[in-house]
Amino acid sequence: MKVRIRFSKYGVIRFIGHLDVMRSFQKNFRRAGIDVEYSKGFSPHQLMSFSAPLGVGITSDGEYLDLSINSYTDKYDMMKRINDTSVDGIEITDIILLNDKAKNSMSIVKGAGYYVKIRQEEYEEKSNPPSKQEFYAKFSEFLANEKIEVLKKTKKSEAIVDIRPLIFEYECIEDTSAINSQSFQVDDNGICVYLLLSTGSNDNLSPKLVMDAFCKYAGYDFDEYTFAYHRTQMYSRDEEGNLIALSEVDKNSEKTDFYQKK
Amino acid sequence: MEKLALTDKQLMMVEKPERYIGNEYNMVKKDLADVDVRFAMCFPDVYEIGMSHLGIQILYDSLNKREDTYCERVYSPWVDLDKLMREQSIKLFTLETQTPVKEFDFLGITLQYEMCYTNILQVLDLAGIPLSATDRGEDDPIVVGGGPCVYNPEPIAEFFDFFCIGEGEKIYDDVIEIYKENKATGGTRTQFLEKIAELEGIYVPQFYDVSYNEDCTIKEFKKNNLHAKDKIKKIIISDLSDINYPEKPLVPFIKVTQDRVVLEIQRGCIRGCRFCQAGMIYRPIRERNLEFLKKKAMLMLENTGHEEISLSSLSSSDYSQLKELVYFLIDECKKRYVNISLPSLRIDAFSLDVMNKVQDIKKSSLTFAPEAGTQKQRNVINKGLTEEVILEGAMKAFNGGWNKVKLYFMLGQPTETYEDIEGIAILSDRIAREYYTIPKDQRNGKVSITSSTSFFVPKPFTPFQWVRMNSKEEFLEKQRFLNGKMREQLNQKSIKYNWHEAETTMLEGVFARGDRRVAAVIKKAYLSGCLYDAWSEYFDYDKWMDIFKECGVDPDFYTVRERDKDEILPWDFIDCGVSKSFLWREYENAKNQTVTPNCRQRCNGCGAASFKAGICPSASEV
Repeated sequence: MKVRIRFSKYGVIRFIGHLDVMRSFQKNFRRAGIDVEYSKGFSPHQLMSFSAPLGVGITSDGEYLDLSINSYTDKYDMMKRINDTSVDGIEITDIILLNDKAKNSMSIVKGAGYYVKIRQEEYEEKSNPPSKQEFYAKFSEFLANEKIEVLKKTKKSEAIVDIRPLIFEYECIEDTSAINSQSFQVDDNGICVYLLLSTGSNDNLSPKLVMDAFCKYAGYDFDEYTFAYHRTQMYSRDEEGNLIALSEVDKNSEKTDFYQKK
Repeated sequence: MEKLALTDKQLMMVEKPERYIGNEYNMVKKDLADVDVRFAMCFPDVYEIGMSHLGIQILYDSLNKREDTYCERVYSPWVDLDKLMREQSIKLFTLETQTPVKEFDFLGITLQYEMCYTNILQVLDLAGIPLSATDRGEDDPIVVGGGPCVYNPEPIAEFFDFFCIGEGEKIYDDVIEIYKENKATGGTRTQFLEKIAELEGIYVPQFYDVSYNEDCTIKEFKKNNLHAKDKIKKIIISDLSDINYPEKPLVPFIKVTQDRVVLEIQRGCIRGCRFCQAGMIYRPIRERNLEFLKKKAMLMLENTGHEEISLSSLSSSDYSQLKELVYFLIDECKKRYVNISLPSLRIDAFSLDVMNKVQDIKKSSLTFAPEAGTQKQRNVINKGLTEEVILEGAMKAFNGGWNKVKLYFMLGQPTETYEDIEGIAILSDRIAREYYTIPKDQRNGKVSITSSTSFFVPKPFTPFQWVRMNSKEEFLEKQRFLNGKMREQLNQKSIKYNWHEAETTMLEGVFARGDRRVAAVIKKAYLSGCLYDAWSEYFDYDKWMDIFKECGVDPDFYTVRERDKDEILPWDFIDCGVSKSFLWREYENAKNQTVTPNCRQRCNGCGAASFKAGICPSASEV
């Protein structure tokens, strides 16, 4: 059977690359004594897959990994055991038992939400940085465009792509105190925008590409280090095409014993 | 959120920022308000190398067991961060608290190989600590060195306040107590050094003067401080089953060289190979007891979640309860999907059975280290491995399904002739021929033999400490000759020949047996930009040679010169247990091609019995 594990990644752990996070989980599951299913063959490995890799330097409250297990106690026990033996900055926030027909999260992810803030140390280095008001006004103006064309480079080719349809939602956050959490804090400049972007194997849009296009549009001399990104959640689509959180997809609600504390 | 020493931008600009952020699982955290002594432990190479070192894990764990001490780690910043730190005046910091090394009470540097010497200066320099010990002030950390290179610390003596000769676990308690007491009574740096100079195993270089003869050999090595000892005797742990061993080793995020649980089963070696420094300086052999090892192995696997465990020792096959230990580990590890890696095993029925159980035959290879190509030469170096044993082991393995063999040899040993060198090619070929005696339908494809040669560097405290090392030209000529001979063999297509760089070897030769005059060269080389000399992509041989010339130091004096029996060697002030007369006797035996039995067969009176530990006969009298 499979479980889908939601976790947060924050603090200095943001600099740990995707493959190393994967290795770290393998060791974490061993320490936690989780009854993980291994592949057959001479060098067995844990059967796990991640929904969408997170770039180095980015924090998140909405990471997912699917894990095959042979047996379970209950969700709370499993969460506790993993969290008790995890590194600081990796925290399991939910575990969902999947039904037998569930596809892996990597194939169903369609969208991801991000907070984008300006790092204070970079903000202070600019000679004439935009105020929060100016920044928000420009940002709204930018997204009011019907088309946002950018040069998108892939491994094989370069192409002009209209990214506007790939931006599902956006918001300039006025009251940033409401979104501060253990894993993400807005800096003193108070600037933070929310983006919900198309994600997945097709039409993947990174928040960095959006911000690059915006800086070009606004004429800001920001570089790739100016912004800090935080992923909030990952989404799939239901039959009607609405975005729903990955934790709500393919949930096995028959096995209620998993969700009850023993 | 924890504060890092580097900004996000700086971290994103360098390769592998994980090297500099700490926070690995099992990292020790302490409140600085609760500690009296801050110790920065350094491995002067890149993180992935340094993190793989068992000695630091042991000392880190042991020092942190003390409530009054906080031991943190620091490694050499990689060349990209090194550049950034110089450009932006960033001071070298520790991983745990991300605070400047300069603020620490101690900076401990482990010296595992000679080619890291410029990296020592990098660490001191980036930390803002004066390079020479005598230029340091009361506010600078006390810089201490340990590890195998301290058996001749002279080329780097100038850069250290003191060295610990021997096993550091034995002495850190005393050193820290003395430090605290000295600090509490307002004692100076020099007063502290004078106090510890009286401890066994502590060498304070500035308390000694060296004078030289006209022919550049040492005239006199003399102490200039009453507190200093005339001779420094190495210190060892007598009972390795009664000493702290980490149960919660650090678990790095990035893949490091040694990404596994390391179980040190014994120290020392009974073999007495005459080229091998480790085989002499770690005497006598001391085994850990089986129950201790079983318990530690299980705890470390539970506490790390590592997927592999490895046994560590100079010659695992000599551990008397190896079978019990290995079969226990195989059972336990199978349940946990943990791999076992068993380096330095002699190939015999037992090890083949074990390898069959723990390794994928298709991928794994057999390793032999004959070190020399002919029996005559193997007798010279006292390597008790015969061609018969190698062929028999290989055949057993071939019948068991293996078809890959790795062979390790050395070029440039004393008394070596071109016949001995050709013997390397012949032996490689003979193993391949052995494989093809198996009927074709029973073979597992083609055989693959990989023969590697390194160049022999004479090391202090070995029977070869007096010998002339080959010149670069001789090494290269021998290598070319062997390459030609390899190509003449019947099975040459099955043999791959690898060799080491001769230029690195030459420098290693200077450092290994150098004296205090070499320090000026190392300093100048560092200041001219030499760094990461152990990494071939950064090693600049020509630059080094120019600097030797500029400093008026002749590298050939240290490498291609045979020493007299009576010459004062730079490391003679150290007593590693094994006596100089024993070493000379062994050198004579080498020249006569006489094999000396191993410590289990017979005590050869090397002198290590004075430690009254391990295998030595006098141990039972205590």
